[in-house]
Amino acid sequence: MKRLTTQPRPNWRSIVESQGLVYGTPARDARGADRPYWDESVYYEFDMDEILALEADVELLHSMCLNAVEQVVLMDRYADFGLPEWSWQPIAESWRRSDPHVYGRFDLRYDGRRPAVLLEYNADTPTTLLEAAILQWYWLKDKFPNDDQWNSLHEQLVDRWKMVRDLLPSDELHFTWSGVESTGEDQITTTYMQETAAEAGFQTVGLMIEDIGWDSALERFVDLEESEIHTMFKLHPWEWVLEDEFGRHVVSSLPQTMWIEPLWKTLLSNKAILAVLWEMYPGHPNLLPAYLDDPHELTEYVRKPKLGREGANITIVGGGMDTATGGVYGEEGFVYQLLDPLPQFDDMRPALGAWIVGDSSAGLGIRETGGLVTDDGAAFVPHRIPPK
Amino acid sequence: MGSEEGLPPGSGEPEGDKTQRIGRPADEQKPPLAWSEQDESTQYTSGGSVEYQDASTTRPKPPTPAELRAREKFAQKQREIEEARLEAEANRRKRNRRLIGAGVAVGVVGVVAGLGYWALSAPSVTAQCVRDDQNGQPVIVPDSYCTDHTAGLNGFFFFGGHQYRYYYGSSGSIGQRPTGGTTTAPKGATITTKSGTTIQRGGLGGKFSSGKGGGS
Repeated sequence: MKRLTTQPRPNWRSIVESQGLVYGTPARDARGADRPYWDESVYYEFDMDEILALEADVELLHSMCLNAVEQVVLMDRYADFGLPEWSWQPIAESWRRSDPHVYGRFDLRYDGRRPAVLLEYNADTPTTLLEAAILQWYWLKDKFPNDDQWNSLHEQLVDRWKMVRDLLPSDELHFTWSGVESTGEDQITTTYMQETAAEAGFQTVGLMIEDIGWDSALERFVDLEESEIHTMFKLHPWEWVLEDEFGRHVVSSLPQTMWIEPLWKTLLSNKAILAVLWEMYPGHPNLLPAYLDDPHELTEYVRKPKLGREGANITIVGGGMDTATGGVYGEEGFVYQLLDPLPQFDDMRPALGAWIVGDSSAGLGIRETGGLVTDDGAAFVPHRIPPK
Repeated sequence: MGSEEGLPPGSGEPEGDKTQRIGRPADEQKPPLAWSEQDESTQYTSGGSVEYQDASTTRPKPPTPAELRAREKFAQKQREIEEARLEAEANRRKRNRRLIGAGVAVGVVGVVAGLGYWALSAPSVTAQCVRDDQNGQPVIVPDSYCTDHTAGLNGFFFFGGHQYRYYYGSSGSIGQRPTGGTTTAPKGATITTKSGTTIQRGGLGGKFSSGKGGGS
C-alpha cells in the first residue's frame, strides 16, 4: 500500500459532476485548508496480494457479524443496543425470516504491514457508494487503462438485486431518501441504487421519505400515486425509523412490506456489535478490543456513541492524542474500543471502506483525513492495482 | 497434500482468474446516468425502469373497486365509532347534569364548516384541520380528523375526546403550528382541503427544512 500523487484529469471537475458528484462539501487537508471532496491528485496503490488478503478478511468479518446477530437474537441482548423494547420481537422475526440484505461497508484500519482491523460497520445506510463504484472506476480507465481496481460494485449490486427479486412478491421497488438532507448526497446514492435495481429488471420508483403515505384505512404504505408500496429501499437509518411517527407502522408492515436494508441490520449498524464481536472472537486479528459502557482494561481508547454517524461525538483518550468531536449522539450509550490510530501516509490518514454486496466482498473506497477521526471533512481518493 | 489445498478460499487461486473476478470487463457499457433531468420513466433492456415522484406533480391513480369498498367500510366504521362515542358522551352529560345541576349552557347555534359551504366560485382557500394541544395552541393534524367526522358546534369537530376545527388559508405540515390563516372561513371563497383522504404523509423522515441525512 502506497500513497502517490498524480496530475488530475484536466476537466476532472466536470467529469465527476456529470457522473453524479454534485454534493462534495469541501474536505480539509492536514493544515486545515480546503481541498476538494473528490481529490484525484492523490491515489493509493495496492498489490493484488494485499487486495486478495483484504477480500478474505472482509468476507470473514461479514460472516462473524452474521454470527453475532444470531447470538444477540438468541440471547435477547437488545438492551445493550439501546433499542426500544417494542422493536425486539420484530427484529428477531426479521432475522429468522432472513429478510434480504443488499449491501454494507466495513471501515477498516489498514497500513499494508499488519492485518486490517474493523473500526466499524456501516451495515444499514452506507454512502460514498457512487464514488467507489463509478467515479474511481472511470478515473482508473482514463488514467491507468491497463490497471485493475478492487471494484465489482456495480455488477455485484445488479446481480444481488436479481437474486433479491426472486425473494420478493413483486418486481416493483420504491427507493426513498430524506429530503431534509441538504447536500443531495443521500438522494444521489439512492438514485444510484435505483439504477442498479432497474438494470436488474425491477420497476423502480424514487420519492422522498417525507412523501411516503400511510393509509390508515387499508393499513398500508402508499406512494404519491397512492399505489401500495411492496418493497422499500430506504437510505434512512433504522434507529430513526423506529423513532419516527410511522415507525410502528413500518415495523408492523413487515413482512408484507419489505424494507431494505432489513430490520435485523439495526443490530449491525450499532456500535454495540463491536463489543459483541470481541466477546465472541477475543484476540481475533481483524478485531480491536471493545467493550460496552466501560473501558475495562483499556487505558487508550476511542469512545463512540452506539448510534453515532459521520465521526460525531467521538472521544479519543491516550497516545498523547486526546481529542473529542462534537455532535448530537450518545443518548443510548457508548462503546469503548482500543485506540489504534489510523496510519499516516505523508501527512494524511486513510481509512479503508470495504464494500460487501450480498455475502461477497465487492470493492474499496478510501477516505483521508488530517486528523484521527474520519468525519465529513474527509476527502475521497481513488486507488489502483498495477499489473505485475 | 498439494500446496494449495490447505489455504483459505481466495488466497491460493491463480492470479489471472482472480483479476478477472475483481475487475470489471473493460469494454463494458454503463447505462446512462439518470440523474440528469429526466421526468419520464427510463426503460432498461432487462425490463426494469426508473421513475421519480414528487409531491407537486404526481397525481394519485384511481382506486380499484376493492379499495373503494375497503375505504367505505373504514369510513362506516369510523362513523359508528363516532356515533357510539357521541352517544356515550350524551349519556355522560346527562349524568353530569344530574350531578352538577344546571350545567353549563353551550351555544347551540352551530356553524357547519362543511366543504363547499361557501362555494361561490371566488378565490380558493385551503383549509387545514387543526387540534388544540394542551396549551391551547393549534397543531395541524391530518384532514381526515375533520372530514370523516360529524361537525359539531361552532365549527368544531369532536373525535376521540379531542376537538378539531379548520384553519383557513394557513400553511404548514402535519405536526406543526399553522402559519397565518384564520379560524373563520373567508366569505365567498372556495374552500378545499389538500386531501380529504385517510392517507397521512410526513410520518417518516425529517421535520426540519435542512439538516443531516441518514447516510454514513
